[in-house]
Amino acid sequence: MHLPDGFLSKEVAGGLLGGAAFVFMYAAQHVRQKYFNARAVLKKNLALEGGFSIESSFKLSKKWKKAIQKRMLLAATMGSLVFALQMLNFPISKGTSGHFLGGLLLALVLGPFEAFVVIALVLTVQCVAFSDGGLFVLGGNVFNMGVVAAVGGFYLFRYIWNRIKKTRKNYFVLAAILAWISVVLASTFCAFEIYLSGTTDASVFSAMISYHALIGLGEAGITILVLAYMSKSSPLPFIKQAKENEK
Amino acid sequence: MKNNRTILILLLVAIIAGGLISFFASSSPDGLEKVAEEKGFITTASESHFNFIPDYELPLSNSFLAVSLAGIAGIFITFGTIYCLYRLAIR
Repeated sequence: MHLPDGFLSKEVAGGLLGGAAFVFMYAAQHVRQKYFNARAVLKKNLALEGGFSIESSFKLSKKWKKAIQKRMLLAATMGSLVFALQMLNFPISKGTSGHFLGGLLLALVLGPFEAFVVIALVLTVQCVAFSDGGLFVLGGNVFNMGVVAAVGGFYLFRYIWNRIKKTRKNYFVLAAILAWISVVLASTFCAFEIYLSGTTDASVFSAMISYHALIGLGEAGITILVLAYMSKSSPLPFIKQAKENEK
Repeated sequence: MKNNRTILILLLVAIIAGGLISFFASSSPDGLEKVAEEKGFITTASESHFNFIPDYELPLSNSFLAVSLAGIAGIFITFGTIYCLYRLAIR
Protein backbone atom coordinates (compact mmCIF):
# COMPACT_ATOMS: atom_id res chain seq x y z
CA MET A 1 0.00 0.00 0.00
CA HIS A 2 2.95 2.31 -0.62
CA LEU A 3 1.76 5.41 -2.45
CA PRO A 4 4.18 6.63 -5.10
CA ASP A 5 4.63 10.35 -5.75
CA GLY A 6 1.95 11.73 -8.03
CA PHE A 7 -1.11 9.91 -6.67
CA LEU A 8 -1.79 12.67 -4.17
CA SER A 9 -2.13 16.38 -4.82
CA LYS A 10 0.42 18.79 -3.38
CA GLU A 11 -2.05 20.02 -0.79
CA VAL A 12 -3.04 16.58 0.48
CA ALA A 13 0.53 15.24 0.45
CA GLY A 14 1.85 18.36 2.15
CA GLY A 15 -0.81 18.32 4.83
CA LEU A 16 -0.18 14.67 5.57
CA LEU A 17 3.57 15.22 5.65
CA GLY A 18 3.11 17.95 8.23
CA GLY A 19 0.69 15.86 10.24
CA ALA A 20 2.92 12.79 10.16
CA ALA A 21 5.96 14.84 11.18
CA PHE A 22 4.02 16.24 14.11
CA VAL A 23 2.85 12.80 15.25
CA PHE A 24 6.40 11.49 14.84
CA MET A 25 7.84 14.19 17.09
CA TYR A 26 5.14 13.55 19.67
CA ALA A 27 5.54 9.76 19.53
CA ALA A 28 9.35 9.93 19.67
CA GLN A 29 9.15 12.16 22.74
CA HIS A 30 6.66 9.76 24.30
CA VAL A 31 8.92 6.77 23.68
CA ARG A 32 11.94 8.64 25.07
CA GLN A 33 9.94 9.47 28.17
CA LYS A 34 8.97 5.82 28.57
CA TYR A 35 12.61 4.75 28.59
CA PHE A 36 13.46 7.36 31.21
CA ASN A 37 10.43 6.36 33.27
CA ALA A 38 11.90 2.87 33.42
CA ARG A 39 14.98 4.49 34.93
CA ALA A 40 12.87 6.22 37.58
CA VAL A 41 11.23 2.90 38.50
CA LEU A 42 14.61 1.21 38.80
CA LYS A 43 15.86 4.09 40.91
CA LYS A 44 12.94 3.72 43.28
CA ASN A 45 13.56 0.00 43.64
CA LEU A 46 17.25 0.55 44.30
CA ALA A 47 16.57 3.28 46.84
CA LEU A 48 14.31 0.87 48.71
CA GLU A 49 17.17 -1.58 48.97
CA GLY A 50 19.24 0.84 50.94
CA GLY A 51 20.59 4.35 51.14
CA PHE A 52 21.48 6.19 47.99
CA SER A 53 25.18 6.43 47.25
CA ILE A 54 27.58 6.85 44.38
CA GLU A 55 27.86 3.10 44.24
CA SER A 56 24.10 2.62 43.91
CA SER A 57 23.77 5.33 41.29
CA PHE A 58 26.46 3.54 39.28
CA LYS A 59 24.54 0.31 39.72
CA LEU A 60 21.37 2.08 38.57
CA SER A 61 22.95 3.34 35.35
CA LYS A 62 24.30 -0.09 34.59
CA LYS A 63 20.98 -1.80 35.27
CA TRP A 64 19.04 0.74 33.25
CA LYS A 65 21.40 0.56 30.28
CA LYS A 66 21.11 -3.22 30.26
CA ALA A 67 17.32 -3.11 30.40
CA ILE A 68 16.87 -0.51 27.66
CA GLN A 69 19.49 -2.14 25.46
CA LYS A 70 17.27 -5.18 25.25
CA ARG A 71 14.21 -3.12 24.55
CA MET A 72 16.03 -1.20 21.79
CA LEU A 73 17.18 -4.45 20.22
CA LEU A 74 13.60 -5.71 20.30
CA ALA A 75 12.35 -2.53 18.57
CA ALA A 76 15.05 -2.78 15.88
CA THR A 77 14.37 -6.49 15.41
CA MET A 78 10.64 -5.97 15.06
CA GLY A 79 11.36 -3.23 12.52
CA SER A 80 13.56 -5.45 10.39
CA LEU A 81 11.09 -8.33 10.70
CA VAL A 82 8.30 -6.10 9.40
CA PHE A 83 10.59 -4.89 6.62
CA ALA A 84 11.36 -8.47 5.56
CA LEU A 85 7.74 -9.62 5.78
CA GLN A 86 6.64 -6.62 3.71
CA MET A 87 8.83 -7.97 0.89
CA LEU A 88 6.73 -11.12 0.67
CA ASN A 89 3.97 -10.30 -1.78
CA PHE A 90 1.41 -13.09 -1.80
CA PRO A 91 -1.05 -13.49 -4.69
CA ILE A 92 -4.64 -12.70 -3.71
CA SER A 93 -6.67 -12.85 -6.89
CA LYS A 94 -5.94 -12.89 -10.59
CA GLY A 95 -2.91 -10.74 -11.28
CA THR A 96 -2.94 -8.97 -7.93
CA SER A 97 -0.79 -9.39 -4.86
CA GLY A 98 -0.68 -8.02 -1.38
CA HIS A 99 1.79 -7.88 1.43
CA PHE A 100 1.90 -7.75 5.18
CA LEU A 101 1.83 -4.28 6.76
CA GLY A 102 2.62 -5.05 10.37
CA GLY A 103 1.05 -2.00 11.99
CA LEU A 104 -1.07 -3.89 14.49
CA LEU A 105 1.63 -6.50 15.17
CA LEU A 106 4.11 -3.77 16.09
CA ALA A 107 1.53 -1.98 18.22
CA LEU A 108 0.65 -5.15 20.16
CA VAL A 109 4.32 -5.90 20.83
CA LEU A 110 5.78 -2.43 21.36
CA GLY A 111 2.80 -0.25 22.22
CA PRO A 112 1.21 2.32 19.90
CA PHE A 113 3.79 5.09 20.00
CA GLU A 114 6.88 2.97 19.68
CA ALA A 115 5.13 1.00 16.92
CA PHE A 116 4.47 4.26 15.11
CA VAL A 117 8.10 5.36 15.39
CA VAL A 118 9.34 1.97 14.16
CA ILE A 119 6.96 1.75 11.21
CA ALA A 120 7.71 5.34 10.21
CA LEU A 121 11.42 4.48 10.14
CA VAL A 122 10.77 1.28 8.15
CA LEU A 123 8.77 3.27 5.59
CA THR A 124 11.53 5.87 5.39
CA VAL A 125 14.16 3.19 4.73
CA GLN A 126 11.92 1.68 2.04
CA CYS A 127 11.42 5.08 0.44
CA VAL A 128 15.05 6.19 0.49
CA ALA A 129 16.97 2.95 -0.03
CA PHE A 130 14.49 0.92 -2.08
CA SER A 131 12.50 3.56 -4.00
CA ASP A 132 9.31 2.04 -2.57
CA GLY A 133 6.82 4.80 -1.85
CA GLY A 134 7.37 8.43 -2.83
CA LEU A 135 9.23 11.04 -0.83
CA PHE A 136 6.53 13.74 -0.91
CA VAL A 137 3.83 11.22 -0.04
CA LEU A 138 5.89 9.68 2.76
CA GLY A 139 3.62 11.55 5.16
CA GLY A 140 0.63 9.83 3.56
CA ASN A 141 2.20 6.40 3.84
CA VAL A 142 3.26 7.01 7.43
CA PHE A 143 -0.23 8.25 8.20
CA ASN A 144 -1.99 5.24 6.66
CA MET A 145 0.26 2.51 8.01
CA GLY A 146 1.42 4.23 11.19
CA VAL A 147 -1.36 6.43 12.52
CA VAL A 148 -4.32 4.46 11.14
CA ALA A 149 -3.10 0.86 11.19
CA ALA A 150 -0.76 0.90 14.19
CA VAL A 151 -2.07 3.59 16.56
CA GLY A 152 -5.72 3.33 15.47
CA GLY A 153 -5.56 -0.47 15.48
CA PHE A 154 -4.06 -0.47 18.96
CA TYR A 155 -6.72 1.73 20.52
CA LEU A 156 -9.53 -0.19 18.83
CA PHE A 157 -7.97 -3.38 20.16
CA ARG A 158 -7.73 -1.97 23.67
CA TYR A 159 -11.30 -0.64 23.55
CA ILE A 160 -12.71 -4.07 22.73
CA TRP A 161 -10.24 -5.99 24.94
CA ASN A 162 -11.41 -4.07 27.99
CA ARG A 163 -14.96 -5.21 27.29
CA ILE A 164 -14.50 -8.93 26.71
CA LYS A 165 -13.36 -11.92 28.70
CA LYS A 166 -9.60 -11.86 28.90
CA THR A 167 -8.50 -15.26 27.71
CA ARG A 168 -5.69 -16.34 25.41
CA LYS A 169 -8.18 -17.47 22.80
CA ASN A 170 -9.99 -14.14 22.80
CA TYR A 171 -6.64 -12.35 22.52
CA PHE A 172 -5.71 -14.15 19.32
CA VAL A 173 -9.21 -13.94 17.83
CA LEU A 174 -9.31 -10.23 18.53
CA ALA A 175 -5.77 -9.73 17.19
CA ALA A 176 -6.74 -11.49 13.96
CA ILE A 177 -9.91 -9.45 13.52
CA LEU A 178 -8.16 -6.18 14.32
CA ALA A 179 -5.27 -7.04 11.97
CA TRP A 180 -7.83 -7.42 9.19
CA ILE A 181 -9.62 -4.21 10.21
CA SER A 182 -6.36 -2.26 10.41
CA VAL A 183 -5.48 -3.14 6.81
CA VAL A 184 -8.95 -2.37 5.50
CA LEU A 185 -9.05 0.88 7.47
CA ALA A 186 -5.61 1.91 6.20
CA SER A 187 -6.69 1.20 2.62
CA THR A 188 -9.86 3.23 3.18
CA PHE A 189 -7.81 6.22 4.31
CA CYS A 190 -5.48 5.68 1.37
CA ALA A 191 -8.49 5.72 -0.98
CA PHE A 192 -9.81 8.82 0.76
CA GLU A 193 -6.53 10.65 0.21
CA ILE A 194 -6.50 9.69 -3.46
CA TYR A 195 -10.12 10.78 -3.83
CA LEU A 196 -9.48 14.04 -1.98
CA SER A 197 -6.58 14.75 -4.33
CA GLY A 198 -8.95 14.53 -7.28
CA THR A 199 -6.85 11.76 -8.83
CA THR A 200 -9.92 9.63 -9.54
CA ASP A 201 -13.61 9.28 -8.66
CA ALA A 202 -15.28 7.78 -5.60
CA SER A 203 -15.21 4.25 -7.05
CA VAL A 204 -11.63 4.07 -5.69
CA PHE A 205 -13.10 3.32 -2.26
CA SER A 206 -14.86 0.08 -3.19
CA ALA A 207 -11.90 -1.02 -5.33
CA MET A 208 -9.33 -0.42 -2.59
CA ILE A 209 -11.47 -2.00 0.11
CA SER A 210 -12.31 -5.12 -1.91
CA TYR A 211 -8.64 -5.92 -2.62
CA HIS A 212 -7.52 -5.11 0.89
CA ALA A 213 -10.28 -7.20 2.43
CA LEU A 214 -8.38 -10.14 0.93
CA ILE A 215 -4.93 -8.81 1.83
CA GLY A 216 -6.18 -8.37 5.39
CA LEU A 217 -6.65 -12.14 5.68
CA GLY A 218 -2.93 -12.62 5.10
CA GLU A 219 -2.21 -9.86 7.59
CA ALA A 220 -4.37 -11.59 10.20
CA GLY A 221 -2.62 -14.93 9.69
CA ILE A 222 0.92 -13.55 9.91
CA THR A 223 0.06 -11.34 12.88
CA ILE A 224 -1.25 -14.17 15.03
CA LEU A 225 1.60 -16.49 14.00
CA VAL A 226 4.21 -14.00 15.20
CA LEU A 227 2.21 -13.13 18.33
CA ALA A 228 1.72 -16.80 19.18
CA TYR A 229 5.45 -17.39 18.97
CA MET A 230 6.37 -14.26 20.91
CA SER A 231 3.76 -14.79 23.64
CA LYS A 232 5.60 -17.93 24.74
CA SER A 233 8.78 -16.17 25.78
CA SER A 234 8.26 -12.40 25.84
CA PRO A 235 5.95 -10.42 28.08
CA LEU A 236 3.44 -8.94 25.63
CA PRO A 237 1.24 -6.13 27.00
CA PHE A 238 -2.27 -7.62 26.81
CA ILE A 239 -1.67 -11.33 26.98
CA LYS A 240 -0.19 -10.97 30.46
CA GLN A 241 -3.71 -10.23 31.73
CA ALA A 242 -5.05 -13.28 29.96
CA LYS A 243 -2.41 -15.47 31.60
CA GLU A 244 -3.20 -14.10 35.03
CA ASN A 245 -6.90 -14.67 34.43
CA GLU A 246 -6.44 -18.30 33.52
CA LYS A 247 -4.31 -19.19 36.52
CA MET B 1 17.87 -15.10 28.85
CA LYS B 2 14.82 -16.23 27.00
CA ASN B 3 14.22 -12.75 25.63
CA ASN B 4 17.59 -12.71 23.85
CA ARG B 5 16.78 -15.99 22.18
CA THR B 6 13.44 -14.63 20.99
CA ILE B 7 15.18 -11.63 19.42
CA LEU B 8 17.73 -13.86 17.69
CA ILE B 9 15.04 -16.15 16.33
CA LEU B 10 12.93 -13.25 15.09
CA LEU B 11 16.00 -11.84 13.32
CA LEU B 12 16.64 -15.24 11.80
CA VAL B 13 13.03 -15.41 10.60
CA ALA B 14 13.46 -11.94 9.08
CA ILE B 15 16.62 -13.02 7.25
CA ILE B 16 14.95 -16.19 5.96
CA ALA B 17 11.90 -14.21 4.85
CA GLY B 18 13.85 -11.35 3.28
CA GLY B 19 16.76 -13.39 1.99
CA LEU B 20 15.19 -16.64 0.81
CA ILE B 21 11.41 -16.52 0.56
CA SER B 22 11.40 -13.02 -0.96
CA PHE B 23 12.63 -14.53 -4.23
CA PHE B 24 9.39 -16.45 -4.54
CA ALA B 25 7.20 -13.45 -3.72
CA SER B 26 4.52 -12.54 -6.23
CA SER B 27 5.61 -9.85 -8.66
CA SER B 28 2.02 -8.95 -9.58
CA PRO B 29 0.95 -5.38 -8.81
CA ASP B 30 -0.20 -4.94 -5.23
CA GLY B 31 -3.72 -3.87 -4.26
CA LEU B 32 -3.06 -0.15 -4.65
CA GLU B 33 -1.21 -0.50 -7.98
CA LYS B 34 -3.97 -2.72 -9.32
CA VAL B 35 -6.62 -0.17 -8.40
CA ALA B 36 -4.52 2.54 -10.05
CA GLU B 37 -4.32 0.45 -13.22
CA GLU B 38 -8.06 -0.24 -13.24
CA LYS B 39 -8.99 3.37 -12.64
CA GLY B 40 -6.36 4.58 -15.07
CA PHE B 41 -4.33 6.80 -12.76
CA ILE B 42 -1.22 4.61 -12.61
CA THR B 43 0.36 6.95 -15.18
CA THR B 44 0.27 9.81 -12.68
CA ALA B 45 2.89 8.02 -10.58
CA SER B 46 6.21 9.79 -10.92
CA GLU B 47 9.67 8.30 -10.68
CA SER B 48 11.14 7.95 -7.22
CA HIS B 49 13.70 10.51 -6.13
CA PHE B 50 16.04 7.78 -5.02
CA ASN B 51 17.78 5.18 -7.06
CA PHE B 52 19.85 3.09 -4.68
CA ILE B 53 18.21 -0.33 -4.82
CA PRO B 54 14.99 0.14 -6.83
CA ASP B 55 12.37 -2.65 -6.61
CA TYR B 56 14.31 -4.56 -3.95
CA GLU B 57 16.70 -5.89 -6.56
CA LEU B 58 20.44 -5.38 -6.81
CA PRO B 59 21.93 -5.11 -10.31
CA LEU B 60 23.30 -8.66 -10.38
CA SER B 61 23.10 -11.22 -13.17
CA ASN B 62 21.96 -13.94 -10.77
CA SER B 63 18.33 -13.00 -10.09
CA PHE B 64 18.13 -15.04 -6.87
CA LEU B 65 21.17 -13.33 -5.38
CA ALA B 66 19.94 -9.95 -6.61
CA VAL B 67 16.72 -10.21 -4.59
CA SER B 68 18.19 -12.16 -1.69
CA LEU B 69 21.10 -9.80 -1.02
CA ALA B 70 18.84 -6.75 -1.42
CA GLY B 71 16.52 -8.22 1.19
CA ILE B 72 19.33 -8.96 3.62
CA ALA B 73 20.81 -5.51 3.04
CA GLY B 74 17.41 -4.00 3.76
CA ILE B 75 17.09 -5.92 7.00
CA PHE B 76 20.45 -4.66 8.20
CA ILE B 77 19.77 -1.10 7.05
CA THR B 78 16.43 -1.10 8.90
CA PHE B 79 17.93 -2.66 12.02
CA GLY B 80 20.87 -0.25 12.00
CA THR B 81 18.73 2.82 11.38
CA ILE B 82 16.31 2.08 14.20
CA TYR B 83 18.97 0.99 16.69
CA CYS B 84 21.31 3.91 15.98
CA LEU B 85 18.54 6.50 16.21
CA TYR B 86 17.39 4.99 19.49
CA ARG B 87 20.89 5.09 20.87
CA LEU B 88 21.27 8.72 19.81
CA ALA B 89 17.92 9.76 21.24
CA ILE B 90 18.12 7.89 24.54
CA ARG B 91 21.26 8.03 26.61
